[in-house]
Amino acid sequence: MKCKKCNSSSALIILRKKDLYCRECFLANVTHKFRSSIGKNKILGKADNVLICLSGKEGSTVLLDLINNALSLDNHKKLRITPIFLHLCENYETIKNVIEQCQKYNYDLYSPHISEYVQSKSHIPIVNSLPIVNNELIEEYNNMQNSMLPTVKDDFITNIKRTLYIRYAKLLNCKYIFTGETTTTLATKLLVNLAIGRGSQVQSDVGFLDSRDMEIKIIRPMKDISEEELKLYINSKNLKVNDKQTSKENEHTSLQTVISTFVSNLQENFPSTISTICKTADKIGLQDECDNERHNTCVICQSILKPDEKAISALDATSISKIVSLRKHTDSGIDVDMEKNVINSTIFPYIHNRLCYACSRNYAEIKQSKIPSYIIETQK
Amino acid sequence: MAETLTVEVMFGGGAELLFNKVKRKEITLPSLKTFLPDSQNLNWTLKELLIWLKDNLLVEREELFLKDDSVRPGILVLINEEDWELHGQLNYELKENDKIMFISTLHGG
Amino acid sequence: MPVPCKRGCGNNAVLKRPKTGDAICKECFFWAFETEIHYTITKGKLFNKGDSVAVAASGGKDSTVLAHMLKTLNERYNYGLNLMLLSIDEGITGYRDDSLETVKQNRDDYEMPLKILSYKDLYGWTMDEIVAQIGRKNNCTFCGVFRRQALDRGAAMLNVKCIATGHNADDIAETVLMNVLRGDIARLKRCTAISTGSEGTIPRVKPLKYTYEKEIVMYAHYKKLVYFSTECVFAPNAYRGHARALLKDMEKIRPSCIMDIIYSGETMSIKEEVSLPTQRLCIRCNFVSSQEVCKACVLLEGLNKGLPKLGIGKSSKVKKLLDEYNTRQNNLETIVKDLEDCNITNKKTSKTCKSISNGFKQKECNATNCCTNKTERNVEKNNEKLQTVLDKYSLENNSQVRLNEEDSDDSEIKHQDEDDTCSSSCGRLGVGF
Repeated sequence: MKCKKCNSSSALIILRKKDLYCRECFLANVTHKFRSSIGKNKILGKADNVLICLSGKEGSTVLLDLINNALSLDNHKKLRITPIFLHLCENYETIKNVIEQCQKYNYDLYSPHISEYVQSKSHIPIVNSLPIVNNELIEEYNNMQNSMLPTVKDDFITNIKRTLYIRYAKLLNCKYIFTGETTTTLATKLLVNLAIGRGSQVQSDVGFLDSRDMEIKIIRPMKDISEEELKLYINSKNLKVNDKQTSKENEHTSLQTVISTFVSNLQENFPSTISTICKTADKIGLQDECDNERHNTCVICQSILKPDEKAISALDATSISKIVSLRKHTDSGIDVDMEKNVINSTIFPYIHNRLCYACSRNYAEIKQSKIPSYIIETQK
Repeated sequence: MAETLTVEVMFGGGAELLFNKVKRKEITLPSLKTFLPDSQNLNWTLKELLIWLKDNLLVEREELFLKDDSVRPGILVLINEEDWELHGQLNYELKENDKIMFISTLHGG
Repeated sequence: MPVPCKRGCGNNAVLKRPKTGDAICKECFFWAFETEIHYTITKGKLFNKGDSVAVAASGGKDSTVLAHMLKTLNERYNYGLNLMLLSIDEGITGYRDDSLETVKQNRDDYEMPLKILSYKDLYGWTMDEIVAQIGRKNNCTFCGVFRRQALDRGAAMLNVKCIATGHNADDIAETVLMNVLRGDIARLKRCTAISTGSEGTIPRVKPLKYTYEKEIVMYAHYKKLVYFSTECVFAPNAYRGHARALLKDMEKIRPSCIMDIIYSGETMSIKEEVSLPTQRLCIRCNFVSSQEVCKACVLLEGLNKGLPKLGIGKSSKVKKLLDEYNTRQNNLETIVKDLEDCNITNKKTSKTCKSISNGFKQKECNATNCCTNKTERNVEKNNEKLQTVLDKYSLENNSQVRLNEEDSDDSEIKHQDEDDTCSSSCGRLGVGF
C-alpha cells in the first residue's frame, strides 16, 4: 500500500477510511495544519508570551507535543513564542499527570484551581505544584455547579474556563492564549451554540480567533485537526494521554452530550459532516463587525450586547407567550410592550443590559444566589 | 387474585399506522405480576403499558414508536385528554377506564 | 393529581406549554395560542388590510391549523383579508389524492375558495411518472423544486398579495440545523425570516413561525380539526430525518431550545466576503431563479430528454458538460436549421417548451432562450453515451462533495440554486426556505 503523498514508503495510516499515509507524511501533515493555521492568521508577534491551556486530554496532549516540536526547530520555521503552560485543576488525578507530562518536555506548569472563579481576583500560583486548596471556595463552587441543570452547567463551565484563562493570561503577562479544540470539538460546539441561542457568537466561540477581550486574544491552532488525526498522532508518537475522556455520564441529560453523540454518529455515515459544519462556521460572522462603536458586553461570556433590531424575534415571541400564559383571560387585548419589561425581568433577567440572550436564559434557570455576586454587580 | 385492569388506548396523527390502523381499542391488562414478574412497581404505570403495547399491539417498526424505555420524542401522550407531562409521564399509575392517547407529530402534513 | 391552570381561572390544566413550561387549561390554551399568533401577525406586519392571501394547504396538521387560525383571527380582529386555499397536486397516488380530500373538507369548513394546481398540468409529469422514470433516489429534488415554483404560479393565478405557509417553530429550527449540516449558507441566512420574497416575487409569510408543533397538534386535537397524517409514499429525506431526530431529542431535554435555535438563526450574520447568489428571473419561464435558467426548467429539460440526472448534484458542471457536448455536435448548419424550425413551429414547439408555459405566462419562443430542440436530436442519437458520461460525472461530484477535498469549484456550490432537494419536509406544502 502506497502513501498518498510520497508514493514510496508503505502506508500504515488510513484516514477517513480511504486516504493512505506513511507515518512521516501523516505527522508532517498534522504539523503543517497546526503551523499553517497560526501562519495564515498573522496575528502573533515574535517572542510574544503565549498562555498554553492544557486540559490533559487528547487535544492538549498533541498541542503540547506540536508546540514543543515547533520550538525546538532551528531553521526559519521555528515557532518564536515564549510558551507559558496552564492547567485548570478540576481533579487531582489529572493535575499530577499534566505536571508529569510537562516535565517530560522540561516545561513548568501553573495549575490554579477552577474554584478561583467564585472570587473576583486571583494570584499567580507556584509552578509545578498542586493548587492551594481553599475549602470554602470549593464548596461555594460546587454549590453553584449543583444548582444547574446539565446543559446550563456545561455551558457555564466553558465560560468559567474562558474567564480564568483570560485572568491568568493577564497575570502572567501574555497577550495570547492557545487552546486545544479540534475540528470535531468545534463542529459540536457550533451546533451547541445554535441550540442555546448563541448563534451570533459563533465566530468567537468556534472560529480561529476569539477577540472578545480587549487585551487578550484566544487562538485555536488545532482547529483544522480532527479527532481521528489526534488519535492516530498519539498512537504513532506513542504519547501518553492522561485524562481518560470523561465518560459520557448519561447520553440524554444535556444538549451538549446529545449533540456530541449525534455528530460522531453522523460522521460515521457521512464522512464529510464535520468538515462541512466547520466550513459553515467559517462563513458566519460577528454581528457588528463593521460597526466601530463599542457596545456593552455580557458579564459572563463577554459577547456584545445589542438589542434585536427585527420587528419581532424569538425573544419577543417567548415573552408574549409567557405573558399570555400568566395573565387572566381578558378579551380586551393586552398592552404587550408595557408588560414585556415586567416579564423579561423574570424570564430574561438582565437581558441586553448585563447578559446576552443565552446567558440570561441560563441565569433564569439557576438558583440565582449561587452565582458569585461580583459577576453581575460588576460596574460598567 | 388475578386482578385485571381495563383501559382504552387511542392512536392518532399517524401513530395508528404503527398499530395496524387501529385508532381506538379497549384493552384488558392482566395483573402486573403476571405480565412482568420482575417489575418493581406494584401497579401498572405507563412504563409497563408501553412494554405491553410493544408486545401485543405494535405491528410496525418498533423504533418509530419507542426509544429507550419511553415513547419516541415527538409522540405526544394524553392521559384522559390531558398532557402526560402534567402527570409524571412514565410514572403515571394507570386507573380503571383510563383513556391513553398517543398522537404522532412526526408525520408530514 | 390535577394541576391548576397557571392563569388562575380555576380550571385544571390540560397541557404543559413547551415554550414557557406553564401548565394551562383548555380554554386558556385556546386563547393564549390564538393571541400569540395574532401578535406574531401584527408585530411582524405579515399582512395589510384588504390583502388577498393564499394559504398553502396540504391537508396536514400545520396548514389545517393555519387555515382555521387565519379565518378565526381575520374575523376576530378585522384583518380584512380575503383568504383562499391553494393546493398542489403532485400526482402521488395513495398520498396526495387522499390529502386533497382533506383540503376539500377545509374548503367547505372554512368557506374559502380552493385552487388546486397539478404537476401534470404545469409540467406535463406527475410525481408517479417521474419516479417511474428516475427511480426513488432523487425524486424529492424534483418534487421540492417543482412545488416551490408551482406555489408561485398558483399565487400568480389567484392574484394574491402573499402566500401564507404552515411552517412551525420546529420546522424552522430543524431547517437551521439542516442548513448548517449541509453547509448551505445562503439558505441558512434566509430560513429564519418570517417573510421572504424579493422584488418581483410573491412573498411568503409564516404566521406559525413561533408556534411549537406540540401545541399545533394539541390545538387541532382539542378543536377536533380534521387533518391528514400519512407519510409521503416515496422515501422521506433521510438527512432531514437526522436533523429532526436530533431536534426532538434536544426538545425533550430543554424545550426552549427550539426558540433558542430560531433566535440563533435570527441574530447570526454571514460574513461579508461570502458571496450569496443574487435573485433574478429565469430566462425561460420568467420565475425567480438564482441562475440564468431556473432549476425547475433544468430538471424538466432533463426529464423530457430522458436525461433525468441533469440538474441533480452540481448543476453547473453538468450543464457545462452538456453545453460542451452540444457545441461539438452541432455544426453551423443544424443551428441555422433549428432557428428556422423554431420560428416556423412557434405554435407547436417541443414538449419542453409547451409544458413549461402550459397554462401560464406564454413565453415568446426564440432560438436563444427556449426550445431545446436545438440539441434534442443529437442528444437522442447519443443518448446512451451522454448518459454514461453524466452518470459518471454526477457520481464524481457527489464523492467530491462528500469527502470535501479542497474544491476549486467552491464558488459553484455557493451559486447552486436555492431549490435543490426537498427543502421543506416532504409532502409539506410551503417550500419557502
